[in-house]
Amino acid sequence: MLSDFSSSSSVEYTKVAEIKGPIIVVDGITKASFDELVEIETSEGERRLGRVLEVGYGKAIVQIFEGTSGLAITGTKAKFLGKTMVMPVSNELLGRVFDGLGRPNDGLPEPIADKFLDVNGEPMNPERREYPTSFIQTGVSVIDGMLTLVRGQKLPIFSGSGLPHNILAAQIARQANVVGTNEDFAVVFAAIGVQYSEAQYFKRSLEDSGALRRSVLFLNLADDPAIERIITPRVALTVAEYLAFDLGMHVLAILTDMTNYCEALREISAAREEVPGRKGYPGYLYTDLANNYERAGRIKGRNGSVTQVPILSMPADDITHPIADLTGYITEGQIVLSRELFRKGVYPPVNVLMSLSRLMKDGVGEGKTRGDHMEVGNQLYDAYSRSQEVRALADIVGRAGLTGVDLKYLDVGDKFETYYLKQSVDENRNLEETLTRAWDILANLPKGELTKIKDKNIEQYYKEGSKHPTQ
Amino acid sequence: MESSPTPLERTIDQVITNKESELLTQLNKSYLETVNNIDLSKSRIMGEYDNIILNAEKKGDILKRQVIGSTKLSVRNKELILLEQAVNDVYEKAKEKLASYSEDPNYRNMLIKILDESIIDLGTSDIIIECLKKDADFFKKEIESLSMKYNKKIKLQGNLKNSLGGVKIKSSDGTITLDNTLDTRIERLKPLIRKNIAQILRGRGN
Repeated sequence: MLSDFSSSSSVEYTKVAEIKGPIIVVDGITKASFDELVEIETSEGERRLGRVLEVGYGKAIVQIFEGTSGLAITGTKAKFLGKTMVMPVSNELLGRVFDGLGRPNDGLPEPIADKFLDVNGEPMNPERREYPTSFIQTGVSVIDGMLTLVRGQKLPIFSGSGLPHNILAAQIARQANVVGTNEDFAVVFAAIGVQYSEAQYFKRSLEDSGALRRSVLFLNLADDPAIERIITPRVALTVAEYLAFDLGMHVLAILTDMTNYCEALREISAAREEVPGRKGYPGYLYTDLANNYERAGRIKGRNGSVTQVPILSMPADDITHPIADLTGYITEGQIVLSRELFRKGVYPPVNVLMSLSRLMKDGVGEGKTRGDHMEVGNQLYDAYSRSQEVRALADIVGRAGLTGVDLKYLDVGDKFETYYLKQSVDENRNLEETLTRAWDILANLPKGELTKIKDKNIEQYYKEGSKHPTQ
Repeated sequence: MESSPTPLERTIDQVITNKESELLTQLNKSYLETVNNIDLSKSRIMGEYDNIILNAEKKGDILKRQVIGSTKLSVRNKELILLEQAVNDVYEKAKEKLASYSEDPNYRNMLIKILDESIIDLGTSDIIIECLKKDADFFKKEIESLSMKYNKKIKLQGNLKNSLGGVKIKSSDGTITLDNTLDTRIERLKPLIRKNIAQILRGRGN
């Protein structure tokens, strides 16, 4: 590592040919490489960071993370630093708060590094990947019971503007844990383009719960330069990978809001006059998102894991929007938040019928969580789905036109929302409590309706008769 | 001799008996309801009591974690600040010692090595070398051989100030500069030097 630093000399150029949106074109380049880090110095002596996007014909296109406002063609110096962007990593990062570029934001000094890791990460060898099979408890009933998160999984939350996705994200960050083992657990939280109040909420919420000690925060605020957002998930995932694969921790990486990340990509793409794809996003949006999402996983022979929960707000609640659409292709399921449930005062407003955890089946069951876990989840899903159909029917024919069983499903639907789905922001339910609540709901249905559950589990857990659970 | 009750008296007796029995039934019912309510209240109170205790335990646990977490973090952060101060002190002292490095017999060899690197990295045909005034004589002797070696026109300026040594080279039009002074090189190495100093201070160094 020492030789890396001593050999990398930095060349400074003063010929800025063009400034265009977030990029500048430096002329007369004799030595530059793709992705190289560039330090820009304004005529007033202010320093900004950038990276090389393209190089050739004696020119280099440099993307400036802090934006180009205030830069002039004359008097601006561009120093090519001879290295790509690296993040200093060590276990001292835990409990620290950084800005979107990985610089300390908590008044403490730069961390003393064990290593300097390239923020672009190293691709995980598919052959060395281990299939995720272990449960992470979030303390949120609907996630643990029906959309179980598994170590090494990437499970996004699809939300909309104004919905409480950030509150849910903070709750998951506070409460998430691996149950039944003494293995270390850490949270890497990347806030991308969030409001100041939200950033403070994340920080305070982790501080107040004592979870900051096992967390690393990267905060890129809404008024920070948009281009900085391109780096934020990368530095966060670099730290997550280090904690997981070098220190053997189980890391939950929460990235919110990936829509802001994609907007920054679009801005750069437009400034580079690239051919736009759907809704103006670059054609490589899928590849770029995959580069980030695929950094989740487990590696054979290593202890740790990186589990990702990227959060994205769908513009106009449109699930077919390119960001949500492409994310859905790459990740292993999705948790969709519902505006209708939010309006009804249900928190977390998870629309279970549109949500899915593709790896749940591999992370639950006997020896992992509880023998009836998967079956109860499926039965609840089925019952809630049926209750929605009955609700629609009742709107047309009225309650009087429904059969006795239909009325029970209607009741189950209401109770599911108020007793199982709904929980308070600081309520941390363990899996046992979550499954007990699920059985309380199912007790409202006749035994014959429980077609997804094995008889032995029905015998053990089903208590016939109408329950009147209250929150 | 007692006279038999009049029909009115019989009716009154009947009404009184009925009322009495009705009242007794109501009293009995109320009594049972009250007993039942007390039992229910008792179980509700016990439930509430359990809830209050459970919530208090949960809150106590959260508070405990919060206090322990923030205390440990605060101690760690203070340690980081102290360590940084110590690292900076060591770093500055090391720089002071390096100020006399230009007297070292290896210094000249290092200058040639640095210049070699710099000329290759700069990549322009005409070059201006900036160095310390005291190194100018040394470079004057070397310029001819370097010009021949790299086939470049080299000009010397011995006007480098406030530096520990090394060279800064520029293209002839001044648009490209390569700073290879000792100060810049040390600054580039600072993150690694910090790590080594910290390890020594923590007693983990070699």
